[in-house]
Amino acid sequence: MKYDVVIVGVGLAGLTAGLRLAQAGKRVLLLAKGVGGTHLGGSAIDVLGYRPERVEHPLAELPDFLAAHQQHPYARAGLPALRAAADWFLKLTEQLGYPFTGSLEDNYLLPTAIGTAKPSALVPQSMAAGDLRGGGQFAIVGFRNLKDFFPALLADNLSRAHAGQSDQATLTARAELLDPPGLTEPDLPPLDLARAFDRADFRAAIAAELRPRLKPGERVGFPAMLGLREPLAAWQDLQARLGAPVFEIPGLPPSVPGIRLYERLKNALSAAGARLQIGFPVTEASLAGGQCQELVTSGASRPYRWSGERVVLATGGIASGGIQTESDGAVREPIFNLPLAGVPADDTPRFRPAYFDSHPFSQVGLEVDGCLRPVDAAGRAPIANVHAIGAMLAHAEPWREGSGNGISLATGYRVSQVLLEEKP
Amino acid sequence: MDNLTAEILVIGGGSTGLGVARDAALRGFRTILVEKSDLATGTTGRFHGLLHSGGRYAVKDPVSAKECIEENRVLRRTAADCIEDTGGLFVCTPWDDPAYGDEFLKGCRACGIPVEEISPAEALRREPHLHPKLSRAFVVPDASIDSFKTLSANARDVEAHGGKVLPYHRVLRLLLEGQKVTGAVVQDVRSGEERTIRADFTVNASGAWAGQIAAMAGLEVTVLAGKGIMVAMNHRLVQMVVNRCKRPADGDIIVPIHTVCVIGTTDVRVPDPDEYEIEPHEVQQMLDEGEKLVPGFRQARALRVWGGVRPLYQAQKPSEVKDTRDVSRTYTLLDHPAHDGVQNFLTITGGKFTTYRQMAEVTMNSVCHYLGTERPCTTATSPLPDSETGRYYWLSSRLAKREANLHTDQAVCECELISRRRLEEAFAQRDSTNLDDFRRQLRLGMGPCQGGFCMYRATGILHANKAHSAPVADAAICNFLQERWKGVVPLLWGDQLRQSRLDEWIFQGLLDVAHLPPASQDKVP
Amino acid sequence: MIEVDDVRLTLDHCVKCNICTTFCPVANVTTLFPGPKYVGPQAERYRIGDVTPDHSLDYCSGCGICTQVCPQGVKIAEINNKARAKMVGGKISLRNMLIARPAMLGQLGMPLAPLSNFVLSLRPVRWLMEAVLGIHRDAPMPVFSWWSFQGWARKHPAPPQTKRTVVYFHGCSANYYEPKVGQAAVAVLERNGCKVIIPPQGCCGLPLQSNGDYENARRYAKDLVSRLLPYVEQGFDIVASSTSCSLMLKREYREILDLDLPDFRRVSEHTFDICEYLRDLYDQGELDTHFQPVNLAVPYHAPCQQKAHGMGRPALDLLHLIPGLQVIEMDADCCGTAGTYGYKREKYDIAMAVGAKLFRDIQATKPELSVCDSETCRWQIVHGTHLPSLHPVELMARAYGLPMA
Repeated sequence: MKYDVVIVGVGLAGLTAGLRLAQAGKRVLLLAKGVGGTHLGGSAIDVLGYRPERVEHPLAELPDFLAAHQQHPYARAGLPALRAAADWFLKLTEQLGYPFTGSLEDNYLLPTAIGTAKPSALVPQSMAAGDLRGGGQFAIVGFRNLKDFFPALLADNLSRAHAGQSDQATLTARAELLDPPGLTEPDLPPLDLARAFDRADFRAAIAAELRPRLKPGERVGFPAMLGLREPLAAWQDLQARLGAPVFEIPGLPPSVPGIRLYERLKNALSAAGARLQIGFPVTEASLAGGQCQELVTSGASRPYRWSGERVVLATGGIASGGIQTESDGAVREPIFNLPLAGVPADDTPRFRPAYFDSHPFSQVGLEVDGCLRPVDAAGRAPIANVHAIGAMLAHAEPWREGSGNGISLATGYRVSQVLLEEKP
Repeated sequence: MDNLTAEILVIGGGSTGLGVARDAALRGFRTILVEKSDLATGTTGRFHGLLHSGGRYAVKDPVSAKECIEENRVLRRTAADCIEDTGGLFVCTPWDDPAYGDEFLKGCRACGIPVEEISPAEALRREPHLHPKLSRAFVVPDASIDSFKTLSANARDVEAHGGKVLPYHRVLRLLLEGQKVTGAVVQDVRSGEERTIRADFTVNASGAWAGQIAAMAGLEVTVLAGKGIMVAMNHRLVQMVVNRCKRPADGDIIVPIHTVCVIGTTDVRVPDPDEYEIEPHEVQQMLDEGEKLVPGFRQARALRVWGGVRPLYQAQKPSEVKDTRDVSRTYTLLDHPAHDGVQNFLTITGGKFTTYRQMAEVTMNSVCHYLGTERPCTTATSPLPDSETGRYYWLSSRLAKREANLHTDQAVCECELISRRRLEEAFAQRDSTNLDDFRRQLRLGMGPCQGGFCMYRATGILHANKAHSAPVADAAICNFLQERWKGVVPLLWGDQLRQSRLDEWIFQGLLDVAHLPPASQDKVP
Repeated sequence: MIEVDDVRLTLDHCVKCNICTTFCPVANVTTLFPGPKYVGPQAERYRIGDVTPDHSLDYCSGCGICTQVCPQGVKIAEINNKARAKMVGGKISLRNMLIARPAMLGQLGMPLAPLSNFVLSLRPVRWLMEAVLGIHRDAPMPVFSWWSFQGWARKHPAPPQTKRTVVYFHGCSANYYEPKVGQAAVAVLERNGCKVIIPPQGCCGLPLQSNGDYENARRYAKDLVSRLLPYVEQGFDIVASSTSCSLMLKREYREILDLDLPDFRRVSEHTFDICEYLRDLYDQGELDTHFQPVNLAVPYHAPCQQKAHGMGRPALDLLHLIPGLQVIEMDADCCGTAGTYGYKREKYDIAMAVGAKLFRDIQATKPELSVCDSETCRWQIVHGTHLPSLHPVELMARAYGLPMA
């Protein structure tokens, strides 16, 4: 069975590329050894948050940023692809019933679970009312038996956070702690809470208890668990019942918003005719004539061979084993043994003693050409039909720059443009 | 801050100091112990957790060996709750001379250490991960012992008998009246306040820092700092203590303790017990040595690395010592009144964790002699708090507890199965907002994720229950992040690097801890 | 020494992300099960010796989805499986001993088939069984066939001209409960030029293994392998129509029961799921693709243990060749029964809650029937949807226009 494109990895990058290609009529297979990117990475599309100063207008500031980071993945994807990707993503999530909002022009400033004000470009609609720009009054609601969310600490830090633009802007935040009706398990699983919010009777009970305690003008923040199957309806209904703007605050993984996104993207892929096989790592590739002919996975008792005209490597970099490291210092890309960039020389430190420093090893990855094909030090692509996207790419520190999902989205979109031979 | 008086002042919060303080308290002395950091942050908290049978010293250092087996028995009787009865193996790998086994047997017998030779096949049956080509194997009563738990139990006994244990109190200077030591001036390092502690007798039990304290009384006591590193592997590759059967050298012991196994160690003289590095080649050396005992060792996950300095008392001049491994591991009581003309002051130094109780007994016997009072030592037969039943610690205890409270309590630290109630209890009992203090006590953040998930929860609970101040909570989490980072940096490859990436994503990507509002921003001072 | 693919060693890969727990069908419907991460790589670091304090582990259904979704390669389900054996410690309840022996039950029930089925359909009998044995009164008991597949096979003449020979591993379900599946399998294979040898064979031991009785599971495994080995040595492949049973031969004997022996390896390498085998024929251009139209829209559920083969969806690949047939792959992960799990009094409600979404999704397509490669899943799906459920080869047989029985 031959596919047009085989994509390795089902994080946001792989899912983006897969969906674009499948919806354009290509025969797509996605192979992944597990599920992770969306569940751990969360849903917010962070395009550029820190340079290291906080970024307010990513689109305006990106050219400058890229002038100083010429090998950054955004430079390879190109800003037009990033813009097209953002437009596409907003339309897509609307169609999938889990609409995102935002733009590349202005970053939201949204609270994190510990109360930092963090920039994000595109977020689920249910998060937008948490925007801290311009100040405001916030009531942060937690649940006594939910151990992954501490509204008092959050509110405490939020009150101290910079409101951002205006000196006159004041920001007050306070905490409310509820006992979720009917959910008495002391160690409440986050998904159980999310599923409860899918129920109208649960929302009604929450609203009945909370509404009298709210002050006029307050925006109400909840942990990002407002519904799993029907999050849009759950959020809208809760907002209506409380008579106040409601927003979700993402926290520790696994991310419920990430799960919502994953499920919708996966279903859209199936509907578009794509195939997924999850649970088996690609162990090797067979090459001939400078092309990848087949990818091999190890099944229960024999290898299985999958062939595609093109291959997209979206295996997630170091965090997911897309790049492997050994105790003796070896670093390698395990499927094709592609050359890696950014590996510090043998006798130089890979990591610095101060935790918050930028670490030399953090930017290790693949360098790619304008078509997102991995290249060697001389700029040649050793395998003509292999492309690489997402966290596999070198020269980015997504968690420091605030660019994680942005890179995945932009490069996933760009590679689909390349493979569909669309003009950028 | 109020000044204090005591009959016995003990300087040093390691095993020696706590042992002396408990011994003193049980003999009815009003006792105060001071320690510049938290308890068990010196050598005691940094060894591999081995309760020696003495087999390691049976050939080369029989004095030490005999002390070890004696105290092994005493501690099993009195500190059972801190001990896991793993048993120990001495094995000859293909790199070891089988003939040494005969010397080993002879030495053990001469020292009274129970020893039994078993076949390599039997050794492999008990420990399937060992090298398949062992030539000889011997069973001895090694065990693993939790030093934090032991010290904590000692401290509770001190307080139960009216004494005081003061961590984070650094000795600034000793009080001297002529040639007599009458106490010390200490500083609470957290608040900066000073207080004076007057005591009838002062015991210097400050381990690798003993020389620094003795110098305050004008004494020249040379304690060399022998640095050793340990690597904790993420899970127990062996269930018994495993030793190489050979002359003691680096990396020849693997100790299963709690949920990890620890391989150690090296021995490198360092000039300053507070400043030392962990060198990449030392880490590689531990992995190489691990491969000899357990082929495939490098494929297992290395969880954390740390260093400790062992105190090696040197009667000779330091420059004469070539190899710190040649210094005896037995202990020395420096009788300052008798030999140095300084009264009411003793230094107890050297030694090992296994013999801490005996070191304390010998010290307090001497103190009694000088104070002119006859009070017998009871520590050899009095069980520590929680060890009264004589039941050894069972590795599965925490799992059993969690299974029992699965539907009645939250697991805050999932790796180490620490419940919310337990954490809140600890927060209430101890005056500290330093999460690392609680880590030592509870094992918070000591599992595979190194605090990745529990750090945020613990900080939230700290804030809600206790600190009520975001800057204090923020500082707690940032400090803990830095502290956890320190012990994994030299091991960032494979699984631990992937874990670290996930943790980085959680704290920097999702929580954005790096951009927390700085404390200085607050209007409140 | 440490074997790199040793199940326990894979716990080192766990980064505590809890993705496995978010996918766990059981954890998602009950808090009685704290999740695969907890009972797997997390608790494993605390297990020592022969005594283990595990209790909540009992709620693990063994579906294996956790291992498939883990992004780091932890063999969670396998760790859980082995821990269960330790927890059980050789002390198997009477109930578990019974339901773990479908062959024995089949031998007892089949000779009296119409009567035994009737008795088991009586509510008072089921209530009594629940009270005494702990088998839930509503659990979908398979219906004993009044004729055995082996009996039919002995009288079945081999086709005159064949291009290849295969050995059919039919499993307990085809022999005692659903011989029609066996017949369809043989018919489809013969249609494609196969001579099908059906040797005497026993139970693969899967239910024994999943209930923690490794000692007996190994006995059954050795017996089955010894019966199949001579054919493998003659160069014949083994074709199986239960994706659960064939997984035992392919992998579980080695990975769970630690039977890593040369004979087992040889048999494993020659074992194919029937859809996999037929798809391979198709890839070689050897499959008869003269299908009559089957104008149906059918939902297809890939059993958890089918996914564990890592062979893609050969059933889908084959069914797509049938004109007029529209196959809709269901997106629910687990039907809930997990072999013998759903039959247990204390687990039945959990199993039904797990399968609820699948039942709803199947019914929403308003089908005549559903398709699924594993027998206990089919029985559960029938129970939950009140619609028939067929093995893919039964549909293929229909599309080939083959007369059945």
